[in-house]
Amino acid sequence: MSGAGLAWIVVEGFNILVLFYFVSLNAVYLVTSAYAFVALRRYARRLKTVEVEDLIKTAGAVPITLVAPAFNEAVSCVEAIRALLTLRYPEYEIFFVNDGSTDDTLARMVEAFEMVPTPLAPTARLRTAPVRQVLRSRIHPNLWLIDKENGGKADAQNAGLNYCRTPLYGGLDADSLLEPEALTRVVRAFLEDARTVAAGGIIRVVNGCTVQSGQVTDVRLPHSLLARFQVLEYLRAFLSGRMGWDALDAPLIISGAFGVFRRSVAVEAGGYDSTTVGEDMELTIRIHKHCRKAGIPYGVRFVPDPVSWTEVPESLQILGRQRDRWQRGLIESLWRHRDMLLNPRYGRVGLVAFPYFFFLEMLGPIIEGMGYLAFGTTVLAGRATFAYVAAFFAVAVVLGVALSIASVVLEELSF
Amino acid sequence: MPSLLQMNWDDRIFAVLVATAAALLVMAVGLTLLALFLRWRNDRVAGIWAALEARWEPILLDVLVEERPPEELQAAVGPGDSLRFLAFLLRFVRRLTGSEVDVVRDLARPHLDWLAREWDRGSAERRARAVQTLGMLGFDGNELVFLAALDDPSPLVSIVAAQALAEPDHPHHVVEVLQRLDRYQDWHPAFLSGMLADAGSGVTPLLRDYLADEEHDAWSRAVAAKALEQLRDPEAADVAAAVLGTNADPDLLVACLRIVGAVGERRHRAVLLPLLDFPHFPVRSHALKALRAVGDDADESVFLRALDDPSPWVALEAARGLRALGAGEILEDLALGGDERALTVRQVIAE
Repeated sequence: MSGAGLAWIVVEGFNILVLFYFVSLNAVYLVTSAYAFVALRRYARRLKTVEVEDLIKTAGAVPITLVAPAFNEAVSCVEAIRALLTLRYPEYEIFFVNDGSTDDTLARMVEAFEMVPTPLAPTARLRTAPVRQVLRSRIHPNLWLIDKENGGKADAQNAGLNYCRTPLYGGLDADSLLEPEALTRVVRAFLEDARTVAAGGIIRVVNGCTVQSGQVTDVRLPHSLLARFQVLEYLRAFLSGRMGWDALDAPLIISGAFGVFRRSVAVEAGGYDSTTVGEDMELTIRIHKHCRKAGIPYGVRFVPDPVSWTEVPESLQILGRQRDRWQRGLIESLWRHRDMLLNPRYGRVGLVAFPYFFFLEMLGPIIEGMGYLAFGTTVLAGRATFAYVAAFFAVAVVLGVALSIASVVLEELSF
Repeated sequence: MPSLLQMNWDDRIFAVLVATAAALLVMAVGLTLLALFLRWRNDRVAGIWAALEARWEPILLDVLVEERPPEELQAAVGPGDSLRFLAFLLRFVRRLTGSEVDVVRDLARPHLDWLAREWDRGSAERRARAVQTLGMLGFDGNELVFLAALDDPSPLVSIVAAQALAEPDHPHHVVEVLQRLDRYQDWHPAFLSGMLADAGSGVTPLLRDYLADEEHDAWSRAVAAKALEQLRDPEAADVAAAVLGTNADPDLLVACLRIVGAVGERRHRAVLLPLLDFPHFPVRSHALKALRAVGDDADESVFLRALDDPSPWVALEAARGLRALGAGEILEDLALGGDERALTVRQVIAE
């Protein structure tokens, strides 16, 4: 066989692989959307049946510690903490972790909240960069500040986890805006199912919305087209994706922007891994692994109504950097735990969710990128007609549009 | 136009692609219409609710302060609005206490008959909602509904019925709930113990018997123990002490230690000491906490030894125990060190 003939077999073989990838990916999207549809309807009905206020009135509010790591957040830290202090939840503490900021984040916090050095012994011994001092607010006794040397976001979260004294621990970004009822809503997952060890809420895009005193008062679409695309993308990722994976009992990620964990399990699992940029996904996977290995009955849940608002990038450059970080985090997390891939010991997580993220999400950009190349080569060489290519693209685009509209339907159903 | 069978493979694939794109386009248009319909429906439902609440709420407030007769509010409820009216009252009744609750229940009564007959129809969530509405707005006369609902195939319906039955006015129904406690193992124990404690002190004999009965599993007994602790039942301390001497389940031990810590006496001290060496740190920590409540100066050495426990939680309780004994000078000396134990002591001094 000639070299050219062999090359064509490779290109056509790759085209088949791309087709297989395309069908598999969209089949998973359709399945998770279908599961999400059923689960959201059930959840909306359940909300009317069991009022979370009744649950908390009967059970008492499970105390939560919120950990907000910050590096050079002098501009926004005071307002962000003021917003956290207005959350409607009976018993919670806030640990603001100053991760070796080089601006005046520390000074602003100390001044705004009258923070004074206070002895506090750690309750866990996760390794972190040295803690310089622990301070407590004189005016808000539930507000603490951990001042430490720089070690990165995961390291700062571990420092917070080390000092956490409550059964539940909430990780968030320092610039996240939690809705006042967010804690009440997320704690529901722990009260209704005692096996729950981790639960995450939905992240929504704050660009374009009106924010007053740290609270979103008027929800609007962003002005920038790029941010608008991300509004739809977040809806699809959370309401179709994470809700669907939750219904399949195999969620593989609790977002670092807002996730609540059972403290003891997070500590036993080893806390956040400070050597990866995807520490939120890595911890979620490790919790799955830890609980399965230790034989602990557990559940990792996505809850669709506790909302955390976040600012999304409005320039392609920043968006590119963010996506690069996300993709590296995904690759690091999956590769580190590759022994879970298709491993029946890990149930649906190992047999369904992990292969999906591994083959379709992790390898997706490579397959898609090379797919465009192979497809282009095929067309240029006259092995496929323009009409054929246009029809294939039409299927891909219209299916994507349909799935995105389906997530808007899910959004309407979730109220 | 040739049929699919007459085409070559390339044409067939092309035809399938075009047909798929068309079908997906129809689906996308359908979903768009569905999204628009749902938005319209949600807005409409919200509008109807707002209008009904605006009509009913001022009248209800006047009825509650006896400025208007209840009949006026009943007259404002349209023939098809019974369920909405009940939902409105249900939301309102949560904010009320005492005689105002009775007024609201009287208002609900004419609308509950249908619900009492049809409660077992529809989805689990719908059944649970019906039982909850009956429980909050019309318990009297519907006891049989709740007892039947306890055995509903859905645990959600069963727990809602259990909540309705666990009330101070009818503690005898709690037996039925206790018999089915293992059905609710998914729920957080704090919720279940809170629900049992809501039935009031009239249920403490039942709960004590349940805790003492070794036929029940440790998880269920721990729930009963937590309810007894919340009710601060003094007689439960002896039962808890007996369990502490004969059981090894950490959750049950912790629940019993909390009872001793809350209502125990000096005579219960002896059962606590062996638990200070228990392998699970929550048991050691709660044993120290209980010792702090029932112990005396003679326990100073016990607390001092526990300060070196590998668990920071146990060390913290030990320092608190020393503070409770008034061992201020010892704590001041220990606080001078630069180690973790000194930090724990400084924390307790500052608390």
